[in-house]
Amino acid sequence: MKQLVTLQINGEAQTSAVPPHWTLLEALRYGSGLTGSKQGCDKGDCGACTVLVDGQPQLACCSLAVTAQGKAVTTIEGVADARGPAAIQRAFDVCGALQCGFCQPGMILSASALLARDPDPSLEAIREALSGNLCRCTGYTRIYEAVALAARWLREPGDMRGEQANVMGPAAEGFSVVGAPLRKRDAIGKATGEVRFTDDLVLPRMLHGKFLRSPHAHARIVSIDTSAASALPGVFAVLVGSELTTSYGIIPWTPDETALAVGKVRYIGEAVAAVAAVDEDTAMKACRLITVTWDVLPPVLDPERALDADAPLVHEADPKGRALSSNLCKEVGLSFGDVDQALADAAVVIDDHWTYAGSTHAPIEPHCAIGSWDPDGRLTVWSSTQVGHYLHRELARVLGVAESAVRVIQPAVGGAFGGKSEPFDLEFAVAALSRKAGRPVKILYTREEVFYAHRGRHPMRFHFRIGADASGKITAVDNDILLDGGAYHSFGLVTAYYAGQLLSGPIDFGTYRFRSRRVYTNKPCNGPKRGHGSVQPRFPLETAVDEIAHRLGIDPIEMRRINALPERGGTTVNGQFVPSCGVRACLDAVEAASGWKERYASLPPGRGLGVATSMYISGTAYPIYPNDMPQSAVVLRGDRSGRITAFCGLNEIGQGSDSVIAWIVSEETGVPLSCIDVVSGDTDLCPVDLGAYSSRVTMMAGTAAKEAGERLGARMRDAVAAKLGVPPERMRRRTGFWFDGDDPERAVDHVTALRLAEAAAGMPLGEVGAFRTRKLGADYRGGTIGASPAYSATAHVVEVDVDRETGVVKIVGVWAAHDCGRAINPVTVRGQIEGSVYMGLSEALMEEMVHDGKGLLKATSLLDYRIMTSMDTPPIDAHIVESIDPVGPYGAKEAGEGPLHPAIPALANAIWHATGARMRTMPFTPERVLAAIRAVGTREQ
Amino acid sequence: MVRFFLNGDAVTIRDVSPETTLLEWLRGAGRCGTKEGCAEGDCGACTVAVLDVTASGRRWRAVDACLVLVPQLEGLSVVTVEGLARGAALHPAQQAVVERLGSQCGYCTPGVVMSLFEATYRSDVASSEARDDQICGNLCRCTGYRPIREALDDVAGLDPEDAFRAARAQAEAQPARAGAGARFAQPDTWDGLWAALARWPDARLVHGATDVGLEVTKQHRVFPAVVSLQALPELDALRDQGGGWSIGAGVRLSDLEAASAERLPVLARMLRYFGARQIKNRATVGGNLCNASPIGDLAPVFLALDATVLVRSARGDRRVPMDAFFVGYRKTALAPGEVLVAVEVPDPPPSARCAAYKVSKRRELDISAVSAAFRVEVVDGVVTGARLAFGGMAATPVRAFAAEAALVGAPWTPEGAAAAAAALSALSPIDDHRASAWYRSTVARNLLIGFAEEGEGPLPPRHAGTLAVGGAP
Repeated sequence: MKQLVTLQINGEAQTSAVPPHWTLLEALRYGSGLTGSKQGCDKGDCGACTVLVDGQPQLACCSLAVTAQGKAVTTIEGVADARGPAAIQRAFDVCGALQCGFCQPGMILSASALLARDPDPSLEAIREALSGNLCRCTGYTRIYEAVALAARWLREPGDMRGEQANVMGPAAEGFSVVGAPLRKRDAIGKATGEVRFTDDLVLPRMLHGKFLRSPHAHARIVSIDTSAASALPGVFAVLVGSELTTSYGIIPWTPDETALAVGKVRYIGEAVAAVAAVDEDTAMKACRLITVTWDVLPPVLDPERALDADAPLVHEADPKGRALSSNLCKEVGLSFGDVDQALADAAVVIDDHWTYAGSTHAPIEPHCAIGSWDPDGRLTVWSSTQVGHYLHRELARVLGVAESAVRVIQPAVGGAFGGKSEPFDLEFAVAALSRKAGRPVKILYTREEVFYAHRGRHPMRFHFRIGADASGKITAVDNDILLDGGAYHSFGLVTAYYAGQLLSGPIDFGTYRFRSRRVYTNKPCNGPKRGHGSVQPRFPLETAVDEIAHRLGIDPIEMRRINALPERGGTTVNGQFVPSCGVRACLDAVEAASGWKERYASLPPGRGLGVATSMYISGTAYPIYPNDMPQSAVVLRGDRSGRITAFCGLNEIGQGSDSVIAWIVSEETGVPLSCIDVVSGDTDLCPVDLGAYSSRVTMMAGTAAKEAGERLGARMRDAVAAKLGVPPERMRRRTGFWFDGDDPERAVDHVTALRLAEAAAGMPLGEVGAFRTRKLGADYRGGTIGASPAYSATAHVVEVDVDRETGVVKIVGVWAAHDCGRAINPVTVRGQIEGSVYMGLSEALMEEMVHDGKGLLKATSLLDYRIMTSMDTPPIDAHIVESIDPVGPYGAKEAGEGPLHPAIPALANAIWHATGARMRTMPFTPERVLAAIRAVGTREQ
Repeated sequence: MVRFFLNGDAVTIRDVSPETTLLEWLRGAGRCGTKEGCAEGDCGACTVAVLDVTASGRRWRAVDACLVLVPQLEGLSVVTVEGLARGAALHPAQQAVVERLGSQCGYCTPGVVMSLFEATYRSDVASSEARDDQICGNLCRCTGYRPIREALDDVAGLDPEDAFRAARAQAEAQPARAGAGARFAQPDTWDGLWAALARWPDARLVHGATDVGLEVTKQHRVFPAVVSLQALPELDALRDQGGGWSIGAGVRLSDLEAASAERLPVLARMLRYFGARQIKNRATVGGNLCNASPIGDLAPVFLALDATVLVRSARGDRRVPMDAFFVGYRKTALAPGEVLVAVEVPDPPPSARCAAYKVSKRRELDISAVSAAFRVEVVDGVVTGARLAFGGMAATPVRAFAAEAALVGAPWTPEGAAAAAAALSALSPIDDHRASAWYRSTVARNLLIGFAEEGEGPLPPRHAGTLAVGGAP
């Protein structure tokens, strides 16, 4: 039997007949047709059905309709009034507090009740007031902000957020965005802990994976018994190497790795098996239940010993199955001019041996990946990678599925520095384990595993000879380089080339020869670390140049001026074209800033100054796998709401590349930054960008964004010009507006401009831009390796204080000047310079991958593997030099890797200046420095 | 069961094992703002703040969540990076990091923000050195630190009138309370302690957990039981006892560092380079001595200063001279059921000169290659008494008796010290990856000679930072 109930709903008396067991929610939704109130759980847990009853929030699903007889009920439909949405609703919109929107009706009503009783609620009060409303999208922060903003609007009507709140300073001359010191787009998200890194992601039914790793540096796997592990309750999948035998490698010609070891292991820490279980503890327990029978082989650990005829072979066959007879992984030999004659004719020759220690990236975020298959057989992998595209290709190959069946998503990455620039065991393992278990699987490396994954700076040994004429001009460089590659190839052939090819500037040589040999050893694999392959040889070069200057009585800074490449259009001895080279301006800057001229000759004993220079690529000439497609692309979608979305497959790893795209698009279209979205790091949504490596992103993705932006901007310009009846070439733009250059009063805002453009096009606005491969490099085998569209230049001066009783080196100051072509944002460029200087000094002073006689890595924690703290890091005085490169977007070149290089030799030169000791071996530990001082005596003695 | 406050909300956790770290729990509970970088107190990415109430005051302290055992939080207030912003309004520490571009990849940022948070409410971070110390426990691989340091300068000592300041002042803020659980006890009385130790004779004793935490996160150790000394108030006390100082075993090293700056500068300077502030905010005097590491940094100082330790058990108290406390590699003179209550340090005589040195590859956050502490009494230019103690030179912290004997009666000159230093050859340190035996022996000699070169009066300006610790403040 139904009962008649009269409710005052949103100010209107409504009488309806309801069954006595109906809830108020049912009465509203089914009785009155007011479906704004949602049913989320129907048991009072979620709050989506919240309405106001006599001004108080109540759960409509938990009260009987009959008990509301005669009461005033406010639903979401009654919040807005004739003037439009209420302040609370506008605030939810402005603050981005609306995502899926299902919880918002209840949320907004709870907030309304709060604001009615408290015009200035504290966060606690807001949280308390909304504590009964669950939201699954926003994480609540936007909601609290929206409530606080609504409160402010109600107290101070007219207070609105400025569109330009993001701008902190003026742009460069002639630009509206480029050159302005802007905040990064994700800064606030990071300061509030909201940005999600891979390990912050949790999927329903997700399992956790762990690896069993090899305790032997070199051993055959005789058998693996996983039965006990599989039988452990809570274990859902166990994986061994024989299940994923397709080999891979970042370089397509040298795929010598497998996801898990197949047949034998080649370093301590190599993954042998993987387990997915309900939690990490169970997975670890299961790993301990796996029995491996080993046939232990003698390891080869020293790179010179590795070349002996009787050395154990790390790899018995190459990736094509051809038998190998040596551990030589790659040998490169190139010669330019008559080096022997030039050395014979030289006024000064330095001939000595140098040793560069291996170091690792140590990003603060350990690697993490999640794999998940959908019911249609598509794989999604979330990974902390810096090369989403290459990972995409290799996942498909190794798992034996089409590339179209794989999606790679790269969440926020907590630092990479080259250490996440190739596929790793965990990415294949989460995919394969997930396929076996039928559930998502996550693997997070322990810190120790990050050290085993490594791919860090190659240890290199040099026999380095250099000659100069009496005027100080470098006439010959001859370098014999031995690279300790570790167990696998990684980027090896590129590293072997880079060790020679990238050394030929900014110091120009008359003649040049190098031989570079990379060998396999039974240690974690070396790869690319910030300044790939080219940081190491600068240590012998720049310290030897310093020594020549000293012998010839030439000031070390002047010595580098004498030998610098030309500022425009130089060509190196090995045939690389360098469109711009600002090294002289860099030297001028650090010479002045450090007080070099006044102080170099008069420092007290123990104090010293050192200088060094470098040059680095802005992207590589060609992609890693040969193809004729663009190396980077940007797709822009202009929306009639006034927003532009930029899609680009680049990998934002903290360097600010998403922000660079937004800044460029804003510059070219006049659309404010607050109206530009960037979608990156998702292979389903974005056009391909090859990844965050070799300092290529601003050059290549930036060029693509500029081209797409110019095209979209041209559409907006032409449409506005037609509307205003002026020729398009008279149109000008500034942020937020297009206007007639002859009559700036005649202006159209960016929203209207987008709408006019869409109307003119007769279809939604979309534009594309790309960076296409250009023919670069010299015409000999290997002549394209090291070729780049543009090269940055850097100079450092380092000042040290050396204690002769302990050998401890204190870095007193660093002055670093970097020619980045054009600083699209000087603040983020400065951040890259400072981060590079820090990282270079840190590896020079204390970082070293040390193994014991059995190949066990001795420092696998951030305590034992020391990296500089804030305390060891000196004040860094960063200077930007803008050479305005003819190739890069707006003249921009790289800034993220070049400024690392000079730190090491400049420090070594400063130690010499302070003590008279020439450091030939890295890192410059107190022990090495003390021994070197003892060996040569000090300067004042 | 453990109950504490997280970002102002009361939290109750049931069935938590004593080996659960705060970081593990936070992230497992979906509070992912706090990051795991190393899980061993080396990187600071997991820094959170704890409202710590001890005999020496009430303060927000930055601590590494990876080394805090959850059951020890009973009754305490914890703030994480998610708990700082008030609606749209960022906390000054967050705002400063944003304004100064102190975040690149952002992974270390939550921890950096929380170290800045501690600094915001500290009244003793005016000096550059104190600021260095504040932030040195946060490793960053992106920024080169300059912007972080600028952000720190923006907020240090602000002490704004906000909810965190109010919380610090509230009467409800308490020291850690008694707690108990399966395999866990945190007694607040001595009788409670004896009962817990009687129940679990094999229990692991813990206070700050900065060392025990490593056994949990790195060796996955499961203890028979964990007995926390954190709620025993007497352990917090620093007492002047006429002619000397009694330092409670539970005194946080950051408190001891502050208190000893004038009272016993030689100790303060060693503590400056002891470790990250996050570690010093949890680590205790007793913990550093009881783990008996040959390279524990406090031991040489207490050996040189002729300290005595006060030891207590259900049977009563006894005193053990520092010289007799370390009986072997990682072994102390403590009998089963005994705990260290306090270290009693006599004031050095007026004729004494004291110095302590720590030599390591990295200035902060490192384990000593060699540490040394010296107390030499000089009358009319002649040495009348000498106590020379070293860490890293033997299986335990040791005194160099032969060198002491050689020094007494000799003139206090670099030459006299060099002659005595020859007797240091009686010590034979080991080669390991921190330093070679050659380096250790050479540096030990040089430190003694260098000490003599420093002469009378205030220290001459040395190569700053090279000798980590000088003899005078």
